[in-house]
Amino acid sequence: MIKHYFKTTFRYLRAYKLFSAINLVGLAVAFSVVYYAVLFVHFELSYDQFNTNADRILRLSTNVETPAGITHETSAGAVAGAVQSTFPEVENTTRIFLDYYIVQKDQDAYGEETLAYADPSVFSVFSFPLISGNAATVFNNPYAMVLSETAAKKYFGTTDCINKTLTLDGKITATVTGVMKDIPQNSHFRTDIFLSMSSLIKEGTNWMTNWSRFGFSTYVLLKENTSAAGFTAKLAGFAKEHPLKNNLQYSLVAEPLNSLYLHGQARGNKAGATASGNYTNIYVFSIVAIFVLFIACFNFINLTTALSLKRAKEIGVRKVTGATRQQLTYQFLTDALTVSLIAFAIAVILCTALQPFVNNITGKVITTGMAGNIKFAGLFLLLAIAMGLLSGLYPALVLARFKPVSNLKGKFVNNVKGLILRKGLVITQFTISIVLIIATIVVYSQLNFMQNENLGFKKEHNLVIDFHYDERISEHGETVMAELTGIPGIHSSSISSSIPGRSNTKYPTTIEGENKEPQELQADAYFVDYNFLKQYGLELVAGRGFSKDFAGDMRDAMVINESAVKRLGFNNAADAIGKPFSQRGGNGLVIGVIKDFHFHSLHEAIMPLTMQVSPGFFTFLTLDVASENMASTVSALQKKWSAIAPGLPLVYNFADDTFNAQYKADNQFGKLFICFAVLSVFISCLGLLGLTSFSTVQRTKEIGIRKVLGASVASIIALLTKEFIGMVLIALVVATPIAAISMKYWLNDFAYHIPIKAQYFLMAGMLAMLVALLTLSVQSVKAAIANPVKTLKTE
Amino acid sequence: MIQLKKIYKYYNTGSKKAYVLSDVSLDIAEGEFVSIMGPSGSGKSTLLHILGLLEEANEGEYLFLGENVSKLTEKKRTELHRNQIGFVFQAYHLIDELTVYENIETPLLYKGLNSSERKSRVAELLDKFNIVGRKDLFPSQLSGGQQQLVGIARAIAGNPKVIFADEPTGNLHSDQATEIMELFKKLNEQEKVTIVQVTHSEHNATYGNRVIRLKDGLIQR
Repeated sequence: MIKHYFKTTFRYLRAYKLFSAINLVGLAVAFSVVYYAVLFVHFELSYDQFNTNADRILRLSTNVETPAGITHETSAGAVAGAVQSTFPEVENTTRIFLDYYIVQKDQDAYGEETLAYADPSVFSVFSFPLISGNAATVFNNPYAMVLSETAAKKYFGTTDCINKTLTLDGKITATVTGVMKDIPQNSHFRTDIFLSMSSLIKEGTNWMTNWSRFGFSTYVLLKENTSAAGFTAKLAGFAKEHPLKNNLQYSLVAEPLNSLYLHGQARGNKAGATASGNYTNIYVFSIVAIFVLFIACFNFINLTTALSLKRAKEIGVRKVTGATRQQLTYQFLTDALTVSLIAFAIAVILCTALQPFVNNITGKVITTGMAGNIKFAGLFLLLAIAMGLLSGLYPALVLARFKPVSNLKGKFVNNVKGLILRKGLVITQFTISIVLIIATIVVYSQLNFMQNENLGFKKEHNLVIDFHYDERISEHGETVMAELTGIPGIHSSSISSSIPGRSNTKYPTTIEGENKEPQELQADAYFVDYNFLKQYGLELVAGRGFSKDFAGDMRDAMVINESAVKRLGFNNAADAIGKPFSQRGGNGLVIGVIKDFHFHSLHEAIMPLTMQVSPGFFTFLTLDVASENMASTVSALQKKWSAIAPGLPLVYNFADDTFNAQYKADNQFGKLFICFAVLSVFISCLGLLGLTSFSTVQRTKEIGIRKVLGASVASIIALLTKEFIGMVLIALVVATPIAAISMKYWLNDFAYHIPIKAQYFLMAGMLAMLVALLTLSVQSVKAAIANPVKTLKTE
Repeated sequence: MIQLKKIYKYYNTGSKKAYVLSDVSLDIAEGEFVSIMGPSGSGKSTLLHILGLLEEANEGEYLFLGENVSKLTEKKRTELHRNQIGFVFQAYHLIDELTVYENIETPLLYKGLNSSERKSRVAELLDKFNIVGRKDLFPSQLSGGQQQLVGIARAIAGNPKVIFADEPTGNLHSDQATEIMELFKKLNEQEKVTIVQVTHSEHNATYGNRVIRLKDGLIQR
């Protein structure tokens, strides 16, 4: 009997090729989407869970209360030690300081790497097992280095590389003392190179005494069976005992490692902030996955029920030859289950093929193959079976209940309830598709806006060299720049501590405000040379820029932006000129105000910014390079560079690329949305195709009669497409508010964003309509041009 | 074997009842070959469907093999379809996706015969109807007469006591029709299968041994 069920199933798949293909493709695509969505969600939720002590680890961070509100900082170097000695419930502490270096094995090969200074306890607080070297002694010396397996293989071709050396920033020699397993992909911070903390905290620096000098990620491992809440409660008192240098109030925040990735506050940091996830993405992925599964499921039900019209006769015959309702139900469940399992097999192939693509668009390695996720694959097999059974159940029950005699008479009347259900499902699918199309349009318009918006500074033709604070350049800036601008094609140059799009340090700054009182600001600070304003085309709105003509402009003069002016309470930029300031122990007067420009991404509102001419922090050289003969200019630059700073590789970027790099995550989000929208539209069209082909088949006779009576081909096509167009219009009406509300929410994440325009909805509606019409035309044109004699004869 | 007592069948059309059958009483004995005749719309097919348990009468009593089958559970009805009743249709109603062999096998599958029993029964029928060479063909590859042969083979596969045939030769030309009618006659005479057929053709009615004439839902005496 079972053999007979399967035989019948396969005969049907063959007999109704189009419907089988629609079902299989729809389900397979849905399975693949759901598989990767679940994998992604699981990956996002699994961050840091590989640490055996994950539930006992807290990250300590600082919230500084400035007059402008709370600024979120990491923690100072001294916090770890002080916490360890104050609180008995603390079992261990460790500190991480992220930085980046140019790493070289020899002169020719180099790369910029994010690396981390760390205490030796990093290997006991976190689960980073060493495969060679002794955790207790690896960090005994400055510039002792632990490499990941990947880094070891990359630089030395083997993990057996203890005592071998690498060159950092072209001048520091660091020695390998240990090799660790790669830090898992789902760690909120990752590095391939750990450097001993003593490489950073040297004699004579104030890292350990200055409680305002942030930059460390401090992690606390609590003893077992101690309450994290109890520990956190005591931190307020602890903070009072350790005042900040500028006497600003602050609180220490303990964030549990378990929720750090998704819920942790972004903390300002020089190089490479730690990875942070987005809870919204998880919701988006889950919802999309459920929707796609829902759509495919209902297409399946829809098509199977519709196909039942064609199978009515067969069911009648089977009934009169003695089939019970149960046996018919089994037959239809077998059909459904078989389709579902074949779809599963296709999905497995599809998922394997799509793996590099998925890792690419999510921007991380969420999977290394089905074999590595065998548990999920198994779960998916179960899902496929469950979906097959569920999707098969409804048609099975409906079909098995048919009255044989009406079937055999060919009198099967389509019940109105079933029709409304099927139409409702098509409307739902198109609603989802249109929402996703609108979302995609909005996301791309915003991305486009961000990439083309006037940022308030000149980003074209600016080639930026990151020289990693090398003294040969920072201390001889004038000479170096004179030499570089001598190269044909390079017109002007500037040297600075930061450039727009790169992180910069914030300093507590005091400037006299409108009320004649000194105002405290936590200001973003740029340290620049005399040419910086001109180099980046920054516009002065009051006062003057820096000039060599005024001796005091070195260190004693400050240029601020309009946001700072506003923060100080002045209505007029000119009122800020001449006001005294103090920053980093230095004093002087404000000499100029520049127009606000976006020195960070458009996600963030423009904050108060100060600029001073002050060497010592310089690490970026900006060169104005002509676009003609770029290649020869760069090669001349390369040559000159190796003469100026032998050993230091030339690491350069263009200012516009640097700025746009901030939108990497947004671009990925956009790509994802395009994928989702395309998939959703595709699956919806499959559903529409299936439904129309049935309604056309059902109406064959009607069409034939109309043609005999003189209807034109065009009027027949109109007749067949009219109702479906109505359905797409309803979908557009339903989708508009949903999309408007959710996209407004999404756009709120950007301090500067586009308004939601009516044309987005019109565009999406037209696109959906166009796709629907194309899909419909496949069937309706065929039906409309058919010879009526033939169609009437078959009736 | 079959007893109908005062059978009424009607449809509600608006406020009035439209009677398809009224006060139909008849007896059919085992081994009879009965032809039901009458003009279009006289209720022949409805009567056959009621006899074949595909429709239920609104009023009256129906005894099949001495058992009252006027109100049966679906399970009981299926049981009778499997073991006692065979159907032959004007439009053959073969399952298009199954081969000749598989079409004949279907009722045996539902009857629960094991595979060797099925094999021998199907082989026997193919042989008897002289269609062994066509067993792997699909219905669309056969002529109408050949399809109807398969339809009859399928109807008698389960060894039913009675065959209900609804204009079995209605779609066939006369040579094929004769062949089919001869076959019915042979089944009736040699295998003692009771046959009830609906037909328009006086000629076909001569193959049977009794004619029941219907007009406007009433039996003409």
